[in-house]
Amino acid sequence: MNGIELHQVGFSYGRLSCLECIDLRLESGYFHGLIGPNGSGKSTLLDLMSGYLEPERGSININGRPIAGYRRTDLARLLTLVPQSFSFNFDFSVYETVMMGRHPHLGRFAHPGVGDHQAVRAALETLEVDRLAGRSIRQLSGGEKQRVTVARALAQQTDYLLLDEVTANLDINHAISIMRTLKALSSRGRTVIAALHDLNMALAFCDRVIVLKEGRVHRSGSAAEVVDTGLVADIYQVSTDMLRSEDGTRQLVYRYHQ
Amino acid sequence: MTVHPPPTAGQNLSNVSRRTGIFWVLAGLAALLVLSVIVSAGLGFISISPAEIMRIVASRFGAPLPDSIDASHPFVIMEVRLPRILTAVLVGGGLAVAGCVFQSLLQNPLADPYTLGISSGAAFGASTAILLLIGGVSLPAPLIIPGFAFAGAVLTLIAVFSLVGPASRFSSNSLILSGIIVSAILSAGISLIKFLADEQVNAIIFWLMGSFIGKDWVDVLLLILLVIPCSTVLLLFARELDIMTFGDRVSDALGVETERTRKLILIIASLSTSACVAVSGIIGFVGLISPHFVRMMLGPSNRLLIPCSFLCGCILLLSADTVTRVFLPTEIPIGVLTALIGGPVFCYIFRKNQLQKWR
Repeated sequence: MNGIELHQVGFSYGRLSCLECIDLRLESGYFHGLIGPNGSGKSTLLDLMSGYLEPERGSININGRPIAGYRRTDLARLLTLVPQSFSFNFDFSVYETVMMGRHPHLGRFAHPGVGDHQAVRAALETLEVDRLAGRSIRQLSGGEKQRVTVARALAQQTDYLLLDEVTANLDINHAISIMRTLKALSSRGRTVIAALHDLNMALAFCDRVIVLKEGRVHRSGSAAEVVDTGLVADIYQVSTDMLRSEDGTRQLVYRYHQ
Repeated sequence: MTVHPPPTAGQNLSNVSRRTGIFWVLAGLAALLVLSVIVSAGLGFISISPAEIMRIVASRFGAPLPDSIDASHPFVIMEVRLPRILTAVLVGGGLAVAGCVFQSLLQNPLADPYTLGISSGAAFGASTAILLLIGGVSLPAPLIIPGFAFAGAVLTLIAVFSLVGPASRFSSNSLILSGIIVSAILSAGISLIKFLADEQVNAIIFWLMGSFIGKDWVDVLLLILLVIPCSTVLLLFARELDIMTFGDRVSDALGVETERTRKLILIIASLSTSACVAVSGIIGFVGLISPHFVRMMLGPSNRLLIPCSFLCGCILLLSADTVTRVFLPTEIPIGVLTALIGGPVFCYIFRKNQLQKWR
């Protein structure tokens, strides 16, 4: 089947257990939200699904094939990860940085062709960083860097997009814009798996939500079923009210002083 | 900073002009290197014209040698100056490429070819060989000192790798830290050897400061066999090196076999560095300054950085060696001179670059 399947996956950092008995089936063509408190294992789960980490126990299949069976380049044509943090030590231009997303599609001696430049340009425009194309990546703000790294992932043109707290450094306008872009991609058949802290974003954009708590899958299902005031109280110990706006969307309102 | 205009309908034209630009930069540096070699070969106690130098070199490939050329000149050029010049050129190029690669790989602009302790390993090996020679062990010195230095460098690399691996990924910080630890231990060992060498300690100190005096075609051959292939292979990994500066998660996600590629590149760059140190002793600064110089002028892309750093390293070290050989009353250590010549130039460019960022 198309999608990512995890069967009894476990992982620990040294003696510290991080994920236990994860059984998941992430169907392709949906926007999956990964939520949970800090340290619940969201980033580790993304690292495992991207092949950056190998599970200590259990197995991960992508499109019905074990992840370990893929060559790294083949995997990068199928799936990419936008990590939470990056190193920016050298003055690559924004254009060069996004062009790196084309690496898995280029042969060792090949130069980027017209198609590669078109993919880069489209990604820059989608993330509204085209005006920064000639700037050094190191001269950008945190939010601009974040958008450039998402643009690089878009330029990679993979079926699966894994993103770790991708809206963390963004203003609300750009955060919503990226979420809309990701939603549009999933509507066109791409699979998006995003670790999120903003539960309202999860409610507004995600088709499916997986809730992690202490390294285990606490709940999973459609965003509407899973995200409610009870869940927030249960996993974050925070009181909330659920509002329903005129257009029918639901939104959590935090009770900051209780 | 490299500036790429956003691609337009004329993108192909833009690519062509960029590639043409790269070609001319490389051709210009290569021409400057050839010119430097010819000028340097002509300079010295006996002055020899460029035309004579060309005829002497051509005579080795079967061309007739005119009678007008002084009988001593072919010997001076072919047996004294050219081996020394080519050694300096290849060591400069090798160290510059290794420096450039180490900086990208360790994601640290302050890294140089000696960051992993290779220089200390080579120094320890060479010092041990010199101590054995002082102690009366009868071994051929021109072979045994580079041999021990090379073995010391390679063993150091193995020690650093063993300290970091095998289970974990080779993180930049772990590698740098392991290099520092191993270096510190070897430095203590070198101090002990210097103490044991007693009054003959000068031989060790002189080797440690680096020199091209007395280099012959065997040294050139060793460098050709190791530095040229290693630098060429490293150039093939240019795009991976660019990507790896963004960290392991990004490079994995972009399809680079990060762990395997990092180990392979480290081994290749270290082998090249080991050959350079074994032949010439420890020459600092060129491996740090050449990549920085090129990066500031042409941007961080390793496709351009590696060949240009190689050529810059060649020219810088040859210039330094020519100055010490020809213009100074006594030869001062080449490592000191590279810093003295390159340092102020680097400071000037660095300052100019900093000022531009704030304007």
